[in-house]
Amino acid sequence: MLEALLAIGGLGLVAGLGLAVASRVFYVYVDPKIVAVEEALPGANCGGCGYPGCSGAAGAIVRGAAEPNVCVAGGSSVHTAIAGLLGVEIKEREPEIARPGCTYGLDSADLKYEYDGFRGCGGAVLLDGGAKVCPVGCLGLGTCVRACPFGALSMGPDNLPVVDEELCTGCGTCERVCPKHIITLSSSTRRALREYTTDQCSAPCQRACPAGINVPEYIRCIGEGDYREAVRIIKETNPFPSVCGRICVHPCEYECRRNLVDQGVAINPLKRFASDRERLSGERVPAYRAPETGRRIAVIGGGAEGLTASYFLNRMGHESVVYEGSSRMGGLLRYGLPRNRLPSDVLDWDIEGVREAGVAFETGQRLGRDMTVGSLLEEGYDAVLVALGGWDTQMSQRTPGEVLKPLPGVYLLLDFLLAFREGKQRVLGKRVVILGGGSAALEAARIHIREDAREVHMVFRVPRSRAPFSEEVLEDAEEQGIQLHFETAVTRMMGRDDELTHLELTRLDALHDAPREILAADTFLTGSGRFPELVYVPQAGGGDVEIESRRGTVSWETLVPYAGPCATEATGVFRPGEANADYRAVVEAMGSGRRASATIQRYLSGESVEGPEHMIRANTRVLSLAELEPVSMAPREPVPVPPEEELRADPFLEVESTYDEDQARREAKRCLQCGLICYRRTEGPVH
Amino acid sequence: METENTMTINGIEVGFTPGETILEVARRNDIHIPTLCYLKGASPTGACRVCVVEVKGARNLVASCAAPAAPGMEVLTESPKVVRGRRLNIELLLASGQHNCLVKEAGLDDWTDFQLEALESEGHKDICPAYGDCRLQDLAILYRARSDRFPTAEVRYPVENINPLIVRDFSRCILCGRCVQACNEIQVNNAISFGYRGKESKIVAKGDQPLKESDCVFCGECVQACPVGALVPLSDLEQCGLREEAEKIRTTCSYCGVGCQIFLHVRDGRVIKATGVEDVGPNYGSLCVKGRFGNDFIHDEGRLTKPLIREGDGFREAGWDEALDLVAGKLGALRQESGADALGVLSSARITNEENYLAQKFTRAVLGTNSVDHCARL
Repeated sequence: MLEALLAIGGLGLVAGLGLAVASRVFYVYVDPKIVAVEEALPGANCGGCGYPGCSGAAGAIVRGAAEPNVCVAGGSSVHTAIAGLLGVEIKEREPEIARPGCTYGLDSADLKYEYDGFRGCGGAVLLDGGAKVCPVGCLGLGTCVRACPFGALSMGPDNLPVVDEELCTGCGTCERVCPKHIITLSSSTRRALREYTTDQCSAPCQRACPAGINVPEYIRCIGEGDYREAVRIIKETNPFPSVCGRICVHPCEYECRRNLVDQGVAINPLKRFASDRERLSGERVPAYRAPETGRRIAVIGGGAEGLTASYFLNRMGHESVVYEGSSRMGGLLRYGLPRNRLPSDVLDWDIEGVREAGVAFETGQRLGRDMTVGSLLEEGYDAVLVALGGWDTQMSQRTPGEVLKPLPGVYLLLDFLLAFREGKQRVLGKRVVILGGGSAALEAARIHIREDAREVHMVFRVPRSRAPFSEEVLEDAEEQGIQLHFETAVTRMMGRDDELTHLELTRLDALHDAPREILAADTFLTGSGRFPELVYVPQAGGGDVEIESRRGTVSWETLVPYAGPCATEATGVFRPGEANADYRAVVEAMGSGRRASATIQRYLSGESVEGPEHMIRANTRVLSLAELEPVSMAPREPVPVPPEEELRADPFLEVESTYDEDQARREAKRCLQCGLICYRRTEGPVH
Repeated sequence: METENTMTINGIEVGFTPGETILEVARRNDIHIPTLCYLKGASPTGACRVCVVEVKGARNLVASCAAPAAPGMEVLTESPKVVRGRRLNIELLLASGQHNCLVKEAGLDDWTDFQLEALESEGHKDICPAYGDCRLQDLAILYRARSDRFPTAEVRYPVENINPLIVRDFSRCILCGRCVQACNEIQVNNAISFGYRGKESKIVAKGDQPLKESDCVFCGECVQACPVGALVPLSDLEQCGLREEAEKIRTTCSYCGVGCQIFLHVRDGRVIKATGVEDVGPNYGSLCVKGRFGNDFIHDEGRLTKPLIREGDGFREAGWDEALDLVAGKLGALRQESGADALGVLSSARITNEENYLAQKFTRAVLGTNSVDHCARL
């Protein structure tokens, strides 16, 4: 008994001593801060921070490689605790939340086969991408639900995941485990940057909307009576719901699937209804603004495009200032539309909304007269967005024969030729690049060569064989010393202060890997009718060309916002392809404005400024339906119009009125809540 | 009988009276079908084919302004086929002339050439004067018609700007025929009609004469009917440029006793043009040459604001009392000298009925003569 006690006890003593020695000899120092931080972290090891588990994150935080608020799951209490431990301040970050991207469960979607196998999405997807006909349909097997470390996901009655907004921390685990990438993280900024792609579910109306409004969702909210939520959803991509609700050309309604059976849903009158309720209540639906970033952006042009861009830049946390040449904001909305279609007080309400959100307005500030791109960059703006609009708006604001030069070194070919023919203008520069313009371009090129320009380049997007001139004319031009560039696009400008110094040319036949040619140039003449939408940003040192810097000057380069969904390909003066821009209807200008703000946001956060991969454009083939199974007919609610006597009495009375609440609810119920190929198959009366 | 006369439009069953067109039935039931050449009150021409609708069983799209409703017809007004058809028609109309506004989207190589040609035509120094008030522009924006699909047709006829009051710009005429309808069926002046054939077609007046050589009375009915910038008041060309819409003040024309309802367009306290008020009697949008164009006298510098008394070869400004005393004295003297019938009074339609009454009372009771007349007989 005693022996055994001694033997075991002795063994224990020896082992204990051994351990004690080992702990001394093989001691590894662990920063107590790391331990403390790890204890403060939630310990879910979700990986949302991008580090391998919480201990990895703790180490990174203490090393300084990660911010104290890197933990997406923890929330602000965890962040403050960590910041307290480290004695640093934390920057606020924008909250994110998981959003399932499929709305029709297995019971209501078209299926290819009955799946009765391994109960996990990872296995089911191996069988021809899952049972649903829709390539982006939720498989409904709950892999995301099981993976959620916070119990925020559950399976709804229709086999679709449901997010508990209270519990979801935005860690992104579900996004990573979903084999179809259907459930994704969402935030105000992400939604403002969103484009519809072929990899996600979208309804025909959404895809048709140049502003990209989530149409079925806001109509659903109206149907449920939540009008303020409907306005909030519209404002995620369009800050002018009251204006759009009146004058939008509603391409969405033409694409509405109800057109196949009776008549499209009154999408635009419903938008007007929701926004008018907000306007008449006088209480604006608050818009989320991401934490202050400390960046400042100047937007030039107070029309629909400029105002939209400034609104979204502001919501993304930047400080944005709009410069407008005339005395009032609104551009064509104010000067191009009859008041019985768009009353001034409605326009003012929406513009005031942009100002109330935090955008600063500077009216009576004309580009080229009161400030220039160079002077704004010098003032310390991180980017200058130029949203000047089309040729016709320029024409209306000046005397004919005047040559405008709002942008450094950029001129409209038309302006120059008209003024030159009248003898009001001499040649413009020594190194001249002319883009597009047909025989007018050749005329301008010859004028410059004749008048001793050092270099004249003509840039054509088409190959030599398809140039708008005969071979003799081309040879003749070359003999005169004009340099011709075929199948080439002008893709970038570079300069210093208010001088253009270089242009970047890119060969179109090998767009992605061709070496980009940089030309020295001081004058750029464009044959397009639109002053290009451009972003000027200060050029960081070590660019493609070293622009000789002088004291007190800023060198800059341009970024080009990516093309919107209306473009048949990537179009624009500085984009490859044709020079058409989507700016004719106000909703298109708003879409361009939002895309310009997205471009700046991507640039500021160091990402590529291209549009997202697989973005849906006019020529993109999207899975859709050509006919519907019988759905019950329901007449469209007629838009109320004021009595004829009143219309006659007041020429400025609005020609259409707003739905009343009952009408709006009835009309909203007509919506089929379409997905890519799913829709609400109603039988019996709709209402 | 009633059950037989029903049709469905966009899934709604509607009744109709035999003889009604599809467009009329739709409008009566609050279903909107866009139109361009359709002129209310005139017979439909079906020229522009913007109002086309899809009728089940019909081989082609049907112009709803001209097609009569038939029992059992099933009509869709905005089906994908209809929208495509309308877009194509609008694109063809845009390509037919120099519509150099924002909807003109010629390719990068053609745009400047197109604008140069358009701007260098006579009377085209600026963008189209109908900008913002153009039905074709509205429709092109609404249906997102692209104007670079078809090449722009060459201009066949020069701008006719030798007329007083009205400029005829054939390069922007879409040959919808609204002006012809307005002239022949509304005003019944029969001054203009279609001339030539095919692509040579043109709106002609009196064997292709300028308007001022023709039977045209310059009532401007055609100008009000023109949906584009092909017929514009001469004064509009001087008002070019985008500005906030002018104030429209509804008033009664003061030229004669008919009481036509007009809108005076007022900007910065100045009347810049007059248009007829549509749909209201007595004129239902129509005006005569004086009512429509005769308003530039309002701001004329030469208008009298004070009485003038002739002295030698010139005039001298005088006070009202002095002027009235002088007139009363002279009238009295003349009556003494040669009797009351030596006097006569001519009054004006531009003053009110009450004032005219007073004028005749004054003539008969005070002057004592029946020689009183009125300028509306001119």
